[in-house]
Amino acid sequence: MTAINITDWNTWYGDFQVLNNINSEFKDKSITAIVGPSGCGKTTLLRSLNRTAELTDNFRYEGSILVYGHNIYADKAEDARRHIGLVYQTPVALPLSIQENVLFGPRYYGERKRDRLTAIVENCLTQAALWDEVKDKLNKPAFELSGGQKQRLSIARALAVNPQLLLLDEPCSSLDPLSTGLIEELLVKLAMNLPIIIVTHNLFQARRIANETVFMLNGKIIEKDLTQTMFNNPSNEATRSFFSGAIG
Amino acid sequence: MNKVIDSFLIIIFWGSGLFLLLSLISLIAYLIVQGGSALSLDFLRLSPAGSPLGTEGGILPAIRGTLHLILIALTVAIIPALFTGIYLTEYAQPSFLLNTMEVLIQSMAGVPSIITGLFVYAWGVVQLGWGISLLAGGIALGIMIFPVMVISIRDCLRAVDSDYRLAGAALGVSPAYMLWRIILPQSWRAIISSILLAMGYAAGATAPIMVTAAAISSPTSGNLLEPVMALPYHLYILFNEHISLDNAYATALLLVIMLLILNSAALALTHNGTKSRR
Repeated sequence: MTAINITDWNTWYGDFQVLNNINSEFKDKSITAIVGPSGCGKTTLLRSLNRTAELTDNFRYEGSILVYGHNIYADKAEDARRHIGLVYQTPVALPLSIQENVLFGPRYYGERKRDRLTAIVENCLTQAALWDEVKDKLNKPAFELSGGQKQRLSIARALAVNPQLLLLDEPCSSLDPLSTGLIEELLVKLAMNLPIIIVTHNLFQARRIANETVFMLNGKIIEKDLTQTMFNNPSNEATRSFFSGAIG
Repeated sequence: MNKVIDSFLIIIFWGSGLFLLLSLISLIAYLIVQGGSALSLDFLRLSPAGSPLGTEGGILPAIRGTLHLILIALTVAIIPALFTGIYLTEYAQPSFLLNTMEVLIQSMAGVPSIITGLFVYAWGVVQLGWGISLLAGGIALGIMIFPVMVISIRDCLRAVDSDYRLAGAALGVSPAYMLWRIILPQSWRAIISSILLAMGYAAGATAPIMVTAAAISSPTSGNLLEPVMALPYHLYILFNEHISLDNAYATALLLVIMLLILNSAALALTHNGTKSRR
């Protein structure tokens, strides 16, 4: 089943065109990796998918993005962002306790019942593979956590508002291999229930966890296929050069 | 060569710091030597007396007047300054309007305070018929500290890590919720401290109240439509009319002590704030 349909998608920052006629589909319950050299538009594409690209000055777009058949640009931006989780490159621990970091979204959306809140905390931290490490210090300030733990906390915070899909922008680029491994493992588990799109600079990471891989260059999607095929037998010459390390 | 430049810079840094410190210390020391003996408990709790008025007695009405003026100035300025600062950092999208606002606020902060005073004189004192009064002086001081407060409150809010705002935006929460849960808890100490600094600025300002509020002698009852005495103006009169240099120095010393207390409180607040966040 298709989770996301992107049609004739073009975006600009001022006069500079960042994305050029993107047409693509992303599958439900699977991980799609977006790879490509710096400045190719990966992050802008990702941020177009939950309407945070608009937070940058002078952003303009044309085209449409449907998530489960629904045009996310027809609603208010806040509604789209609520339903589409985004985890940034830099782990962000809000200056609150660990528990309140997870509950930051649910409280805003009106969840008041104590037992529901407790359940959300345990459930989301468990899904983010952080529960065992923090269950005895839920009321401690979140800034005491390590970088890898903070990133898993960011994932738990995103999961707490029941997103329809989860976007991650190079979530492991500032983390050590052990934390990276933990996050990759949890993403594979999460992908059994919702679509995940991850921008990564790490081709090995794409190969380890992504069902499909998208290769972008100069604001265009050059090729998109099963990850296996992209690595072993790409049809495009530029893709081959990138995956072999000749460009990048 | 770099070493020479480095040592040269270090000498300049030390020199500048020393210059600042010595200016402040010598100013305070001079005031203590000249005015310390006249600054007694009686001086603080008596009204001016003698002939000409001010040669004897104390400055209680002037202290009270200055406190009243600050209170009114804050009442006038705090709410608009806080909300303008919040609007500028948390709500306004980059636009021509925003740039214009920034320029206007900067220019407003640069308006000489005597002009603010004359404006309130023409508008409040004369046109609205308040007369020389506590109300007119408080409003003049309020208008004077408003842009300064906007700028410092804006900077306090801007100093909060913008990653928090991005994380909030990614969850679709409103700016108001972000403000209430994250931004204000992170910045309230700095905001209070900038309000204290603005109070100090208002306490020392003479020009705006000269033409709107201040009197050589007034019981300073707190009546909004009566003239008031104020510390900086009293000081100016004592000195300018050669009434009593001793009392002028004592008044100056008191004013400086008040400002030092306000500024140290402001510093202590922000300092503790940074420590607890680390």
